[in-house]
Formats: sequence, structure tokens, C-alpha cells
Amino acid sequence: MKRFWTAVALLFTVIAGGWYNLFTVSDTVGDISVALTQAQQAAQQNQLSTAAQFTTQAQHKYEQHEVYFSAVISEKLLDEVRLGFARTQAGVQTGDCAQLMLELAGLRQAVDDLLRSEVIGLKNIF
Amino acid sequence: MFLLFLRTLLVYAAVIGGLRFAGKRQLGELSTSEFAVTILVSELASIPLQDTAVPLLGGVVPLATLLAVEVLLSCLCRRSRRARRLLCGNSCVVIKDGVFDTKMLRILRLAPEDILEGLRIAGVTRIEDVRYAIVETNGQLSVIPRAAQQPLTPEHLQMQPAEQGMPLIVVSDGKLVHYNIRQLGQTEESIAQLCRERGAASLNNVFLLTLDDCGNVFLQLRDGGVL
Repeated sequence: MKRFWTAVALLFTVIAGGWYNLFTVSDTVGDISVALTQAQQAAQQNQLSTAAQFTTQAQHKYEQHEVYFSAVISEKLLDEVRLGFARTQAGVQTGDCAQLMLELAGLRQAVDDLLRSEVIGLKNIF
Repeated sequence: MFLLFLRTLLVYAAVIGGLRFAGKRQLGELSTSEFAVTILVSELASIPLQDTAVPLLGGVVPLATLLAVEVLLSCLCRRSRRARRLLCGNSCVVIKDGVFDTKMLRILRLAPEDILEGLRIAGVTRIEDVRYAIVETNGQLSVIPRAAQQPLTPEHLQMQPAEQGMPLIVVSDGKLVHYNIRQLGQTEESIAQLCRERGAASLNNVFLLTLDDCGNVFLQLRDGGVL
């Protein structure tokens, strides 16, 4: 019976861990997305410094959780996000709001992919 | 991660279903669920090792899921006959009273040659000598010969040979094996005494001492001498 209860505990841990991970990824991606949306809006209104500020804010949020992401999400997806941030920062440096908006859209897509890879749905399961 | 859990359960169910569909031919010594776990675990364990871009949890979560589900299913099979039949199937009689059950062979998709091979492995050469041949749930063939073909035992000759016990190692390389000594209801002192009685100068000189519950002793010294 000891083994039975160990198996039950193990399954419970996996299920609980899975839910925790889903909510953590969802929360973090949500936070980053909000900052990126604000950056996109600022870029749309040609407020480059505000857009840069929100992008940096999003990057800080991502970096705070990067270790956790590395433990649960494929490096390929994380590389896309890192590349997206690098491109966005380069966009800020050039000072071209149109270019920045394009880079932000790409970054937003890469960040959303983090959540898409974890979300429970028929597309992901099958 | 939760997705991995769900996907693992689905793959596990698919593999079990596939193996049950494929029938006993695919199995060898292992039950269906054990076989499924064995082939899945060997693959899963290698994924994070081969590809460092895959998080370690990507291998660990499915592994933990599979093993936990396997333990739970084995507990379920122990309690429920229906679950056992569903997961492991039934034993099937393929020869009865020296005659092949052709319907069963067709169901199991086995040729008479396959059964004959199993009979030869079991040491039976004539089909008419077989009372029952059973394909077990793990795919092995069990053969029960007719009474006249069964080997002669002391019981047939009204003999009563001495019982053989299960030998346990009580001294290994000069060291007492306390757990086995307790199992045999002995004490360390009685074992040391036994060694002395058998002619070993000290416990350090003993390479191996085995003892069974019927009192049979085997003692080998470090220099190779058997006492």
C-alpha cells in the first residue's frame, strides 16, 4: 500500500505542478503582454521614449522569470523571445516607430507562443 | 507541463490499446502494461539526454506519470477482475487433450508451428502427450502434460525425502549479514559458534557461510577450503 500511496502522491504532485505551471506561465506572459501592448500603443502614437520604457519593463519581467521558463519551456521558444527583445531594443535605438511597431508585434507573437505551448487544448494535445 | 501529463496519459493509453489489439504475440515475459511502460520509458529517458534544448522536466514529468499510473493500474488489476481482464487479457487454452483449439489459434493469430515451438521449448515433442497448452497473458506458453507423461516424483514412489530450505548468506567475506541472521531466527553468537564448530579459526577466515531453515550449512573459507 505504501507504493500505492506514493504513486497517488506522485500523480497529485504532477497534476498540481502542472496547474501551478500553467497559471504561472499564464500570469507572467499576461504581464509581459500588457507591457508590450502599452509599448505598441505608445509606438503607434510616436512616443518613442514611452515605448522604450514599456519594452524595458516587459524585458525585466521576462528576465525575472527566465530561469523558471528555462526549466519548463523549450529553449527554442525562449530563444525566439530573447531574439525579439534584442530586435525591439535595436528598433528603439534606430528611433523608427514604424520599425519598432513591427518588432514589437513579432515579440508579442513570440511571448504569446510561450503560453500557447503550455495551454491545454485539442491543438496542443494532438 | 500539465500538457505533458495529459499527452503522456494519452500515449500510454494508445500504446496499451495498441498492444492489447496486437495480442499476445507481441509480448514476451512482460504483461501488456509493463511492456508498454518499458518501451515508453526507454524512449522518454533519452529525450532530455539527447536534446539539451528540451527541459529536463520534459522527460521527468512523463516518466513520473507513467510509473505512477503503472503502479495504480497494477493495484486496480489486483482488486478488479474486470480491470485485469481489460488490461492484461485472459489466459487462452490452445491445446486440450492433445487436440488444437483451431478457433482459439485463429483468434490469437498463432500458427500450429508457433505452438509446436513452444512445446519443444517446454520439452514436449508429441502433441498427444499434452493435456493442456495455455498461452498466458504475458505471451508465454504453459504446458501441462498428461498424467502418464508427467515426470516421476518421490511421492509416486511413496518416498519422503528431506525438505530443502532456502539458503541465506549469513557471513559474506568475513562480515555477518544481520538481516539474514534475524530471518533465520539465529543470533550473531550462534553463527560465530557455528563457524568455530565447523573449524573456522575466526569469522574473518570465512569467505561464505550459508544457512537454511532446515539447518543445512555451507561454509567456504577464504583460502578456498569447504568445511
